[in-house]
Amino acid sequence: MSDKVFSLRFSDIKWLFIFSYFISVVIDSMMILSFNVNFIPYLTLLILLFWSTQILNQTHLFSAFVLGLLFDASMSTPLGSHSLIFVTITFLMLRSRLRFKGYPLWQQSIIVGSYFILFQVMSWFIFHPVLKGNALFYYWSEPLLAILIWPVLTQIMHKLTHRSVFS
Amino acid sequence: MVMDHYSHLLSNFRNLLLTTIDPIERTATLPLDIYNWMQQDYTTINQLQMRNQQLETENLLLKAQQQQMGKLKLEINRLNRLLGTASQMSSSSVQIANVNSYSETPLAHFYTLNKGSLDGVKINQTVIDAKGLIGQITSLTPSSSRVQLITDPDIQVPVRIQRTGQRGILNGLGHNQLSLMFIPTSSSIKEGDLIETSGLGNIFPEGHPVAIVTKVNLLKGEPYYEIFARPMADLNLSQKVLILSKKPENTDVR
Repeated sequence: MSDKVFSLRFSDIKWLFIFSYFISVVIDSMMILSFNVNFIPYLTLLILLFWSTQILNQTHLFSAFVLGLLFDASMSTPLGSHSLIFVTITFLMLRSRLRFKGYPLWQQSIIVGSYFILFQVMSWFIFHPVLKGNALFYYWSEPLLAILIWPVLTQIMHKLTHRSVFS
Repeated sequence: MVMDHYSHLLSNFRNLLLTTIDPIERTATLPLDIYNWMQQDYTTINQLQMRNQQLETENLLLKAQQQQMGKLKLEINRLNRLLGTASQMSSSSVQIANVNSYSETPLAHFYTLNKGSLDGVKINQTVIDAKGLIGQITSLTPSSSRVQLITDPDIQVPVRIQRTGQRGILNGLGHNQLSLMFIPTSSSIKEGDLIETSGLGNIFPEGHPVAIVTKVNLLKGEPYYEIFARPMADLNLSQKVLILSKKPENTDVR
């Protein structure tokens, strides 16, 4: 029981795991392709960070790499560039995930925000994004939005996870 | 990353990845499809009649222009024969495609079209609309294709100024802006000049309008002008585009 509460087992939540990634990739693609909104942080990366703090017997680096490749194909960026950023951020989260789990939600949000700042900095150096006018403001507001989204996302995911494990 | 950026060695792998996420992207564009469908559904008969009349007039004008084009083509061929040079003209066959989605992010600008490798589309084909050049096909799935737009910061188009024939390179700047490079300060250029493809590099066919010069700056001590341009094509509005495929004409080489 304590094992389930502290570290989730993949077999218990495999459908939720796959479904959450599918939905997050669809929402991220929708933001870019349908609504042309460029200031929402990647929901997929938030979900990746969430699972890497909940399923402790896996490194999630392979998931990070594959998701990065999918984003490269979707965003028409050089193959491996998003993978590099995703893997770096996941690796940093892996180094401190046990401590991270013990922090209150507001503190977790600030750490997630700092990971998104790193994401934007790495994107800046790798992709040289074209930022004119409001685009510059939107680009750097993504970490702030990630801070706001993280508590809501974790609450929703915790409820869904609880339902999957104990049903 | 380096291999993908500097060569096409991974293009098949990219196409495979795009094919994998094609269903996801189709799901993602559903809200846009529904919006377009609803917009079409609420078009009144009056609007349709007016549109029909407008299109009929346009069709008539185009037919008249095409008659002249045939005559001009023959004349150019005759002049080429007189000069003893091989004809540079090549006719293109076209394929009409619908724009599934348009994306303008700080990282890339692209269209997703509803025609793919099963429809005979190939990588590097040129895409135009009624007004001018749109871009080039960069990746394919069996049922869709990606077009890198001319405003994408990673694209460079060999062009020339229609009025003077001066050659240069057009570079995407994003936000519906382009910059024309390598035009020496000794050459003549002014705002409103039309820029067309030069055909160099054999990727973009010659003579298609690309952009209009909007600003010319003379920088002190620099050998080239700083030139800004606006694309001719309606990149934000185009719903239907043409994919050009090269079909060289039989030419007499003397």
